[in-house]
Amino acid sequence: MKRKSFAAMCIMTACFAMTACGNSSQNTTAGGVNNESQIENGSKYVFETSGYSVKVNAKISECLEKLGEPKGGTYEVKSCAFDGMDKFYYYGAYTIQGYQKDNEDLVYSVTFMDDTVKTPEGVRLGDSKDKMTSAYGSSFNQDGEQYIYTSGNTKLIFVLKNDVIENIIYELNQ
Amino acid sequence: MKKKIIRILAIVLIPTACLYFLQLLFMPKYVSDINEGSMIEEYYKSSKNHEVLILGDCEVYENISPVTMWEEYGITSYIRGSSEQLIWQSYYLLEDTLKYETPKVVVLNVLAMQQSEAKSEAYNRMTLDGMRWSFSKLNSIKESMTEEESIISYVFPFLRYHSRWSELTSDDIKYMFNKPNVTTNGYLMQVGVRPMTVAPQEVPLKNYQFSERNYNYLDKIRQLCEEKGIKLVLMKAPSMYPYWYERWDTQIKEYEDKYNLLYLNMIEQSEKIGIDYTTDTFDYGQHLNVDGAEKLSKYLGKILKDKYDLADYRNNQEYQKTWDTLTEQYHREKENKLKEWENIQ
Repeated sequence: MKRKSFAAMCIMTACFAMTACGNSSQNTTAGGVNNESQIENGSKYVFETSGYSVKVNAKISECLEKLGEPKGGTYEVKSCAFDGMDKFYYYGAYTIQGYQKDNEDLVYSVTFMDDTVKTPEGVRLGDSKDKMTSAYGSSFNQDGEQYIYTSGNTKLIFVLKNDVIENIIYELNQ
Repeated sequence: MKKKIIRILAIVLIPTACLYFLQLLFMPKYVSDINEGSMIEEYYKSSKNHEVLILGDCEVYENISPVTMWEEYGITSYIRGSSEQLIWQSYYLLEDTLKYETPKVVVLNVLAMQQSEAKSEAYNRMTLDGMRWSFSKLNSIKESMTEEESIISYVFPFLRYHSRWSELTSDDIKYMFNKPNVTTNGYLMQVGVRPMTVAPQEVPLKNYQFSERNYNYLDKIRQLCEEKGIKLVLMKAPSMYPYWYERWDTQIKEYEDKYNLLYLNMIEQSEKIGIDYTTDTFDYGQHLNVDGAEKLSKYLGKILKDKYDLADYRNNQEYQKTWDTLTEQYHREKENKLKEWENIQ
């Protein structure tokens, strides 16, 4: 009987521990929670400037080499409690935001800051919705004022107010 | 029959006790590293007779020093802050705190209004694991969980942390039953100086509108304060990053006007406060160091004292002992950390 009781205790403990082992997708420490996204390579939406294509997910070091140091400077901050940095490269007419993956700084987004730059398809801040749709078509997803065109690893986002483009962002499609 | 009962009890109690101790062992301790995870539970060890309760994210626990407000004005305050504290988490922490005490003033940092979804489990854990069990904790978990999380892993954290077996350190044994405080009444002290040489710029966003969900919780915070006769103060700490957009500021100002609250945008008042972002920040303008936090606390304390007629408890014996101990600890910690900082320079 004693053996039976002991066996029952073992089974209970083992069941509990096995339940615990069932969820292998979670990381081991609170600080190490996975944030991996399924990133495909390439997109038809790429920002071009000074003869260089700034691709989402490209190495920041390569961008800096091609574009030079940002004239507006770089702002870097550590995340609140964990490792990882938010980095912004201010090029005046556009800002590149970086993120870190596997200890490498990569391009997370490119945001237009004024109307002196345009997309390779010729759309800039202040243009109309019609110009956007004639350049990119109508296969967008709309989320409020956002019109989102997706291709591969990149989302090209137009924010419109009263049918006028207020913001253009190339962003990592996570 | 007696033996049978003992056997059944043993079958239930022994594994339960084993699992309880394993849970204590495996839970992250947040003492030597990532101190932010310790802050929420520390509150339960405090004296719980505070006139000012401060809620919010890192912009409160890094930027405001309760000891300075005590030393300058005799204000008793506590910061229930945590990393990336979301607005509903602030609400449930308020509910939780009101089970123990009723402050006169609640200061709520409003940066969280711009974030309407929990970003990661790691931040959730640092706010939620430390709360004592109550419906407030349960509701906060339900509202916060990301898709990968489950309630059961909050009820039995061992389910979440069992795989830490290969990472266990001596800290996990040392602090199994009792942990030292890592803050002074919720203030996490930083003494380093890393000047802000480039100011973060206003990079346009996709959407500036605060979500309905966040407004609902802001309403709930306001209504709960009203029910309890507590004055609610909205504050935007003088942190330069994340960039505080004018369109966000306008929404808070509109809310302030609509409900006749006090909103303090400390970025606009940073010059008056005397903050120098080349000397008063430890991380390039994102948070203040202890010098900056003391400046802000003097400024904020004066406003709260004048506007809400807070009592000066410095000569009240009931409070003196607790606050003398806190003050002594605070200055000792400051001295030690400054020495450490000088040594690494």
